[in-house]
Amino acid sequence: MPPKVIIALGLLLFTGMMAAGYLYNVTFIQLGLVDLGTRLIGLNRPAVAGYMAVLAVLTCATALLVGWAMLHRPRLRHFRFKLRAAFVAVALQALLTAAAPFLREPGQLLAWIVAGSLALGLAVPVTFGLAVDLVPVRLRGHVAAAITAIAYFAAAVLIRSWHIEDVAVQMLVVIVPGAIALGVLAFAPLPFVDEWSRRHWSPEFGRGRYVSAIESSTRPAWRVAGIVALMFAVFFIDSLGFLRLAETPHLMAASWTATDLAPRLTIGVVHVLTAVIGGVIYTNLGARHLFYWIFAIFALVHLMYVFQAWLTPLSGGTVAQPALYATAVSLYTVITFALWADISTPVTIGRNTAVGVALSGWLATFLSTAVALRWAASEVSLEQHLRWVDALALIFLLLMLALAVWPTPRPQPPSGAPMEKKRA
Amino acid sequence: MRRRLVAIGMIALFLLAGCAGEEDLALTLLMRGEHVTGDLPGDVYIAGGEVAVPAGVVIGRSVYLFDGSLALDGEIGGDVFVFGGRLALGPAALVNGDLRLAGGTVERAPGATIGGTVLEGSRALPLDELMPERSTTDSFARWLMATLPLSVAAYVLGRRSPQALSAVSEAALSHPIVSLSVGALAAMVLPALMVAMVFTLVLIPLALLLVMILALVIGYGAIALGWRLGGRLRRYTPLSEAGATGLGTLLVMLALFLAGLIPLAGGWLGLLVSVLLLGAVFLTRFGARPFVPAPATADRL
Repeated sequence: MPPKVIIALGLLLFTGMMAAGYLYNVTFIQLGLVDLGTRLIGLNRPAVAGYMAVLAVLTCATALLVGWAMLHRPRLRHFRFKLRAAFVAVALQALLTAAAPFLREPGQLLAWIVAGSLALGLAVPVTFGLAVDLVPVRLRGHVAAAITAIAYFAAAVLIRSWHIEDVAVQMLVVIVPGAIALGVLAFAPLPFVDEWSRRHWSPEFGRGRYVSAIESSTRPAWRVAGIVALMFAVFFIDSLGFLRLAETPHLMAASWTATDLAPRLTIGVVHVLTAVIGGVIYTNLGARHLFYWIFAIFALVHLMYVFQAWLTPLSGGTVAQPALYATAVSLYTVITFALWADISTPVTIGRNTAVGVALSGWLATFLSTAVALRWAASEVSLEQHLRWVDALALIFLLLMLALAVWPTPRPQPPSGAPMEKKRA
Repeated sequence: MRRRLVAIGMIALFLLAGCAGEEDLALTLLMRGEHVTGDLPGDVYIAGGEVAVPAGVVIGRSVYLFDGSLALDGEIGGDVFVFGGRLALGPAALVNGDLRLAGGTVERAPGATIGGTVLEGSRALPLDELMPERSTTDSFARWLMATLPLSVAAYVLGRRSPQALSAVSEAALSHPIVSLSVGALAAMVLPALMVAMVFTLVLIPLALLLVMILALVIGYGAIALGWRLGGRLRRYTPLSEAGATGLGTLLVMLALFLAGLIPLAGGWLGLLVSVLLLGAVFLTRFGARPFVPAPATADRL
């Protein structure tokens, strides 16, 4: 099989798997489970939030454990192992998805969440870890854009109902064939799969784009921590803002849950276009530029929602604000799917992904849910809530701008390189 | 001092080009609700609040309802466009023009009179106002009034800042996808920023200034393309670099004008070129430095 075809198949596998996984996360996990808890099981929202917090913490812990194990156990970094682990996670998740609509007791929900956390926690480092085998470094921005575009277009346009029964059926249509395909690839002796498993030794695949920047830093751990903190801020701001918007029916009815196709199609198309733009900017300008745009757009769109809440509190507004919101979401999702691999080597990708996705993604979601619930209990108005979110976005925008002009220390020369001679 | 005068003159030329052919720039923006007691200057744009036009009050021009509510018991001389919000037509309401419903809700009491036609959906969009049908001669005259000052500005810039023009044109022509991407993001975000500024009221002048700056930026990009074309023309003509830039800009604008005559696609082409030029200018910091794509291995994030 020609090398280009093998690479193309690998890209197809990675894109399809990650897009399906992300679609599952933003629809079934974040929306469907809430519906299951409130509507079918009859729990109140604070209780459901508690169960989601358990899910977040357990998933985070599992992912960190798997990531740590991948860092210290070379066998767990082998391509075939990652593929088989991904199959196990997806197969387990398929079974859990099929079972979810039949849950009726809180105890059953808790058991589901524990099992689901194990599957999700396993899936995150092993699937992201396949990037070093399947995605060339030069294409990571564009592949991330494709994943983002597919996942969000499907979520915006194809997923009309957030009821667990409907979402479960739609997800099973995607997950079951995906699990079968993964199983075949993971266990069948296919020659191109062996070819994939050798890719990460090639500099074209294995060593991430920003690895040199981190290794040459005077404090590499701080660099990674800084990236995690930035992504945490992005997820926190997005989640905290959207949680409140999702609780405002007239805003949702005019946009993400509109019965009319036009607003949802507009949001879906914007997601696709801005994902493509995000991929181009990530590849040609770098991740830093995307962070500027993300914080700036979040600050602007939340400010617009504040104005709307202030001037016309009962109006659903136009599709402009959701479209702008979708822009920021697409841009940061491109970073999510490209950056962790680009700061990693085949040895560190499991750990970095676990730390990055688990800490910045899941922990941010958990904390923002807790904050949103507390504010709701304190009867904080929509306008006040979004003003706080807006302030957070502005603070991080200012921080990014300050970092842009902050003098950075010169990179350390590689070990063994001759020191510069001082001029007399 | 001389450079500053040149810059001010350039800006004046751009503004002159930008205002070419526009007749009436007055408008009224209502955002927090108002009980209208008399005619308002220009078209009326309602962006929020509860506006009431009682019986006996006449608004001479058109009304655009984007958000909030309009309780109409008086008379509207032009059209009423409803993009969002709620329009309540009282029994004495009179709309002399069309009632165009592109969104929002309308309640019409018995006795409310619409002099023109009630249009809904895409037919309600004010395309004839945004892109009015003009004769080719009229369009050409407007184009000429905009292009001549631009060509003069091109002559000056071609003489003083050829490196900057080179950087912008290189970014636009050699990296069109990147330029389009950056330009598209800017084109999505900046209008939203302007709307947010308008909402504050005190920043309305700044919003208008931002519009002018955007026009400046796109014009600058067009001059950069003109510089590139002028460079080719110099092979066949005895023009100086500045003269060739002026002529090249004229030809670029002519090409855009002719492309704009193509039905449907012409407008989109103009928008695409504007976005491309916007992105190229931003990428190169107004030509201060050439755009170089980030390397495969970066030494900073």
